Amino acid sequence: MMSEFLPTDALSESQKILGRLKEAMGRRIKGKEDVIDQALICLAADGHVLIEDLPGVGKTTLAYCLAKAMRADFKRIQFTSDLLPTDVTGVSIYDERDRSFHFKRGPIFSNVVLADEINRATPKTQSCLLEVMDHGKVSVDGDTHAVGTPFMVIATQNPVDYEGTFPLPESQMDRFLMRLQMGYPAPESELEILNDGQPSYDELEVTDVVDPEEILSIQKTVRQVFLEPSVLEYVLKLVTATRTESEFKAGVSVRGSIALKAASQARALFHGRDFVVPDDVAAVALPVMGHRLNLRRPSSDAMEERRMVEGILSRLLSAVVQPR
Amino acid sequence: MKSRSRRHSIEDLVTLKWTLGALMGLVCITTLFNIHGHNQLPAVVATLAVSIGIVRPAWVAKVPQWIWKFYALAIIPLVLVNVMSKDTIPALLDLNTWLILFRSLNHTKRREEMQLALLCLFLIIMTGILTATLVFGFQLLAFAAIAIAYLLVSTAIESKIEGDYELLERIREKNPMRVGKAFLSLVDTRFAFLGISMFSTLVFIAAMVFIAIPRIDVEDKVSLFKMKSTRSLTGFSDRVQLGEVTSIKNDESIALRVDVPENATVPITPYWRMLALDDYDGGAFSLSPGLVDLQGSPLASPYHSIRYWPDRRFSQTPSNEFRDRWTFFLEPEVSRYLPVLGPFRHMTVSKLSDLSIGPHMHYFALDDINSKMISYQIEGVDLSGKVPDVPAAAYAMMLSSTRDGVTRPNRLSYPQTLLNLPREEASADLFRRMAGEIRDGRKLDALSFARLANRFLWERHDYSLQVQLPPVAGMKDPVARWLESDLPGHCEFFATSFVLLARAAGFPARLVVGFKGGEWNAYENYFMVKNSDAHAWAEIYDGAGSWLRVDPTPGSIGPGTNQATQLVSERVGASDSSAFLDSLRLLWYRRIVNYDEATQREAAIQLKDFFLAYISVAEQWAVSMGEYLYEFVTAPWNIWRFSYFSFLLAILVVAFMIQRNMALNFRELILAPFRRGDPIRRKAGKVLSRISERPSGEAANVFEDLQRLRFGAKESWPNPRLVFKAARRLR
Repeated sequence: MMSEFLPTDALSESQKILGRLKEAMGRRIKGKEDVIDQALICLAADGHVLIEDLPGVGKTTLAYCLAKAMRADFKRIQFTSDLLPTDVTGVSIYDERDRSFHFKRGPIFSNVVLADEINRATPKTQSCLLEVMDHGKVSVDGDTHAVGTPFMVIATQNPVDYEGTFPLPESQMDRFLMRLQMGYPAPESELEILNDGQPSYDELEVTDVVDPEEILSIQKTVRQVFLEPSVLEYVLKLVTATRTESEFKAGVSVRGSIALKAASQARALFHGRDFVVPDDVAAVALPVMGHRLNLRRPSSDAMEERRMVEGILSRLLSAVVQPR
Repeated sequence: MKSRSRRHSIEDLVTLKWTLGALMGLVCITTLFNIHGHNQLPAVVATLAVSIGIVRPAWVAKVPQWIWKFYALAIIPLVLVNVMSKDTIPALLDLNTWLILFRSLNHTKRREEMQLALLCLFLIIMTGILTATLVFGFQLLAFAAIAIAYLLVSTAIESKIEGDYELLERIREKNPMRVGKAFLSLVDTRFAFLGISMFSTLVFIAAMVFIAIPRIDVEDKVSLFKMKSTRSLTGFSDRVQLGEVTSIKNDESIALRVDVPENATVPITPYWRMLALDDYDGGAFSLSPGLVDLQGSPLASPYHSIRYWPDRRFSQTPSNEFRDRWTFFLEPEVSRYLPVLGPFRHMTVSKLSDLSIGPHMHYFALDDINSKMISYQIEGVDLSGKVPDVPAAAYAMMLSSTRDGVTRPNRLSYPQTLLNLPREEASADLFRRMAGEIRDGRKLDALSFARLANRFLWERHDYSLQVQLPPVAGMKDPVARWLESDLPGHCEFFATSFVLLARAAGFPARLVVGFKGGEWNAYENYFMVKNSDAHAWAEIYDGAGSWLRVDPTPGSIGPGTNQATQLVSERVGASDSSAFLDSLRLLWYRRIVNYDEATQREAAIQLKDFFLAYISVAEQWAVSMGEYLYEFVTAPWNIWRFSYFSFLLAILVVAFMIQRNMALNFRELILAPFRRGDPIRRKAGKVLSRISERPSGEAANVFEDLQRLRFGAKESWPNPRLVFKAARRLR
């Protein structure tokens, strides 16, 4: 329970900021409001996003828009099979002048990091993200370096191509707050996109609308959003349901339940409420829990497996009774 | 509305409903055991089957469908045979039993539930009319409770499945039937509270109706419901073979309860006289044929009693006079002959037409042996042990009218039978010889002879229940053989010997059967007379219009002496647990069965008086409070009074504000302890659940406020009362 009382102006301020962000991103990304909403919820909940879909549906554009709109430090890392951990975290370089090693920061030292095609890198490189995604810190050569605040990793991956890819291990998956899907745009939205032409990423006309400090204040506000005991119980019941479901290899981790709570709080704030309603939990349950679960009998087709997991999750969602 | 209780799964509820239905059937079937004289086989079979079904529901599920179909078909011939061979009522009861057995193990659909409830109700009404025992009262109570629970669970299932009967069917098919778990899940405040309140309301209404409605004698109105009794004790009939009364002594069950008046004086060992017998032959006393014929004659009805006893009254209501009233509760199937203490002034029975009197032998008999407990009341009891003789003038007319056209060769008729000796000469001679020994040439009156004869018998014989008579050449009569020996004997030997000795001496005498003594119940102050108190004694005619009681059994008081008596308040008696249970039964009889209109009126008047007294007390209090207030207000004001009043006003205002802000009505306040969680959150949730879609415009704000009340932090709550008010306007 939140003991601190959430002031009304903080609430309306947060909502205004998120509204501005949404409006700015919406100008560029047509007909994908729900995805934008979820990405913003992730941002507010101080979580990382994994965008998973076919190539060319706007994954990278979404990440670019988000980063650019925040007026934050933005880096893009293109993951390939020969990418090394030091390419991401940075490396200590010997400086001949003072005969000592100096840490040269890698692209991870930034506010928003776009890890493009993350599954194309080797597990070794993938794993270098574990610590930084959890604690916002990088340890190299025994020294720990803090990355920027706010810090958000936006990873993309293509689930269909298996050729030359390394599927993300579960521990890595667990560190993403949500997994989003872009999906094809609606025909009228696509027509608009076609009319606009295709500017390069750097030409994206997303004006800086938000300061990083504002994002930090939103993230602080989210943690103060109130959860009534019965709603918290509902969160717990949903998580427990995945753990007892026989078709899953394993249930959602404790990190997962914390994530579900945080995402629900962020969604409540996003909708201008300083308290969570059960609908918030239900709405974020699928994207928050979907990528944390694996079937006991894996399917050969990744998309197929994802659909099945989501089917079971929807069934659990309707089976667990919402508090009223 | 969907049921919100999550603790009860449909599986549990279905299990529970099934078990409750079977229990309901079981309770109904067990009421059949209260009916005496009814074939208990169907009830025993059904009880066993349903009990097994309740303990092992899985076994019931394993019974293949064709067996049930066969069973349903088999009922038809079974019932047909029943109807042919029996009366309608027993056949109907049996049919009902078989149907309940079937239905209580197979009730899944809604119409089947209804059938079960109706069948049970029918059976319980039938048995209720046929019997009115204490056990039945408890069974009825249990039935009401189970039926309420059954209907409650049934309703809960209905509301839970919301018309999805296919789902219900699927659940039924693979229901594991865990009865214990299902029952545990019922231990829920909402369910229990609802059930208990419904049950207590029902009991309360029933009690009110019971006090309020006029009493009707069901037996009178519904002549259909009469069961013929099959069992009776031969020891108390109009022919008593030697040893038959003694055989009753093995039965330890209670035969008679006698409620005595308060502050009365009661004999320590009373004689409960049932019947006197005159005719003797070969060890058996019986009513002489003329007297038996009289039983069926209209002259034996109590309406003609004035002919013999001008000072006695028989009626269906108690007399208006203030005298001691002894109320008798006779258990079913003891005897047709009603035990009485002796002569009395007034007898109250529930139905005069069922009673026939025998003035000569001073008995009062029912037309049929009673199949359920009956009660009667006697006033102005005479405890002297003397029974008046019917004036000789009445003999001739009555007896000649019953003897027309019937020739009974070699038999004497009443009153000559009062001097009957064994027809066997040797035995008769023995009695004459013994009587002569007792008289010893003196000329004695009846009382003196009785004393001497008693002493004679006591000196020769001891008391024992076990008698082995030796064969005596030339004598078959058992009494004569016993008298000649010096063997011990039981009361019947002493009594019959005395009667025959008296007759041999020329005194008319007769054998009397009934009960002697009885245990005193200290809880409710009444006599508990058991079958083992059965006794036989004698009466001898004193030549002056009275029959004197003579008890020749050793240990009894001598003839003509007054019995030892004691005040009711001084009596001590049984106060153990069985006596307590028995006193409950008497309470039941007193209050329920024998509840006549006078006592009912009394109860109603008492109730009214109580309320009136209460009102008058309240009125006085109100008046005095008013006066006090007036004085207080009119008294001069000073600073203390002023500050006192302002303080009082402030408290009132604060209380009012708190009440307003709590936004709870009284219902919510009362029900709050029975509900989980914050009452305002609950109420908001309830209101929210009625709004299916998020409304737009002005209503959206209300919706948001409701959501905040339900899920928001308490510090951020708007005024709940206003929100609920707005929400009400919304609908």
